Amino acid sequence: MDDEPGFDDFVAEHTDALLRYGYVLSGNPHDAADLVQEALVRLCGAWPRVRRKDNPHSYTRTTMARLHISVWRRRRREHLTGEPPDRVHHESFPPDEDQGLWQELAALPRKQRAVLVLRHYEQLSDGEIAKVLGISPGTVRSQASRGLDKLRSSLSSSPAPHRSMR
Amino acid sequence: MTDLEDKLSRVLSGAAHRAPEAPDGLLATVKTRHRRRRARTAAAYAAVAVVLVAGGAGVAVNALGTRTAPHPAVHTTGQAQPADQIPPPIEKVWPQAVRKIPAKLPDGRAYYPQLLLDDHTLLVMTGVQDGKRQFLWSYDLRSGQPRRIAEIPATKGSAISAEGITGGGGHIVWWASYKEAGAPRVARIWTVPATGGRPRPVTDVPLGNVMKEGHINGLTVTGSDVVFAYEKGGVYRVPLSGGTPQPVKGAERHHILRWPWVGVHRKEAVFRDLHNAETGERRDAVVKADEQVRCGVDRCAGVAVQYRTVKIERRRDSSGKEIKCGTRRCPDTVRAQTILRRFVRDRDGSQERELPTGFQMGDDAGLERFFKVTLTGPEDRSVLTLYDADTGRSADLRIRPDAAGTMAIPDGGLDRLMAYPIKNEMYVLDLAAIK
Repeated sequence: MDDEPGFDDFVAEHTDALLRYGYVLSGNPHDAADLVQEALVRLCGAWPRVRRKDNPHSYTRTTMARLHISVWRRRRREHLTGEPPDRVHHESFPPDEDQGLWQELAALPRKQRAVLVLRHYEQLSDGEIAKVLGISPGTVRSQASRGLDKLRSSLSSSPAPHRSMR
Repeated sequence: MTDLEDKLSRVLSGAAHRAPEAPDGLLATVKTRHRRRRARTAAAYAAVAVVLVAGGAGVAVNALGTRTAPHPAVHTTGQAQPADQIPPPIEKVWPQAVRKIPAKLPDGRAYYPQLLLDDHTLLVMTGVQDGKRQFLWSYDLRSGQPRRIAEIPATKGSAISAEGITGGGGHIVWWASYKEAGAPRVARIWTVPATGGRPRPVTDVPLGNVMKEGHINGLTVTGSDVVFAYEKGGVYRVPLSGGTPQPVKGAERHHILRWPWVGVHRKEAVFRDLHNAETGERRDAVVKADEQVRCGVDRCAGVAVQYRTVKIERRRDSSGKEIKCGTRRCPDTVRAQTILRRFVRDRDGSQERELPTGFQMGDDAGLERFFKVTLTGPEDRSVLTLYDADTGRSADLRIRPDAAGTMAIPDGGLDRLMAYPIKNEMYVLDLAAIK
């Protein structure tokens, strides 16, 4: 593997973008770092094949999304914290009303959040999201609609600073 | 885009700038971990071979388990989680509810179960993933024979060609999204007799700006009508024979839970306030301030949570250097959410029962009774089980994570059907068969 050309360059070029993606996906810097590292370890094992056949960038992103919604991640987090999870979000977070939405995102089930991130951060179509997460397009739509419903209902009932959301 | 979706894009992009910086030495760490893992896997295989010869599959599992347990990505607690007691497989616990059929049709096509048309007929769809020609079939669970009902009319340039498939009174109904030049986008509702035939459009539901207002959902056949709701809220009714959809009185802002039950969400309670659109009966749920619940017609399930602010340790990479958040230090504190209770209870607040720790929060429980619960099995692998809140019994669904650690959890919905493939078989569960 050490002799496989291209892997080091890939890591050097893409890590920052992957961390940004991991952060938006998971909502906290620790999980973002974990996700990126684990996905890169897996990519490392599969590098010769991925480099030949797939796009390593999308392979890594797909791995991260799947890892994040998978039980492997959820279980491991319970390991680390040692007490019922789970969602951790930043207290000292930027502006006012955006903070409300960012916090409500943390309360979404992971699959719903992943679908919304892939739609609104990665700008993928529902068909593409279905492929990334390995679920049917119908599930993508229902997860997105539930996620948005939940955000809408939590935000409309939040106290003052988050109020401007309709 | 709706305001919410606009804002979501903005908040997500903004948040991305606060992502942690790449730690020094990441590449080296990744390579070391990769080598270690490869060595460990090889050792595990060797150990199994030896132990099997020595005799004892149980020991082999242990050997494999301790050596192949997932390796924490960044730091280790060194704690192995004890395995849960795994219930017997579903075909042993509720044999009357389980049917196993081939995961492909006789001609080799993959299919997706949609609903049970009756006790022994499954409605399935083919062509879902390849996106080419899509067909509806009824599949006779006794004979194993599929019968083609109809081809779903193609929708050019739309990602949504058959959504919300449902049935009732001998009719199958679905909707597709259409946009023709010079006209606003519509959701075209289609119907076809369950016995087969040519699909016929029922009506075009004007969608206006779908990015702003969403599509439709909750499609249901009731008598000779179809009802549906806009995703933004608002229930409408249209005769199956065609016509213009008319608003359902008293349900102008509502969503359809299970017709005739329509409702609205309040705070952290999904479908907290319900009413019966035919009789006017109201059913509001009792929900306390610290609870997040998802309600059905009879029950609500969810969690009680406590928030607190906790100090966090500085995150460091392998060389001891602090991981930063963008150009700044990461925050010192986080708002941690602790789940105090997990429960299901009647809408009026009575009959509360505890739910197991691993239940899927926010997931619909089949018939408001069967919850999906994740347990930890031998080898530290996850095991998906089905928990019956009425009797406290559980069954192993036989679903396991794949090689990449991902577990496909079937989307059940509230209805009686749960279906999922395992290897070459499709497990078709009829939850209504469990008394």
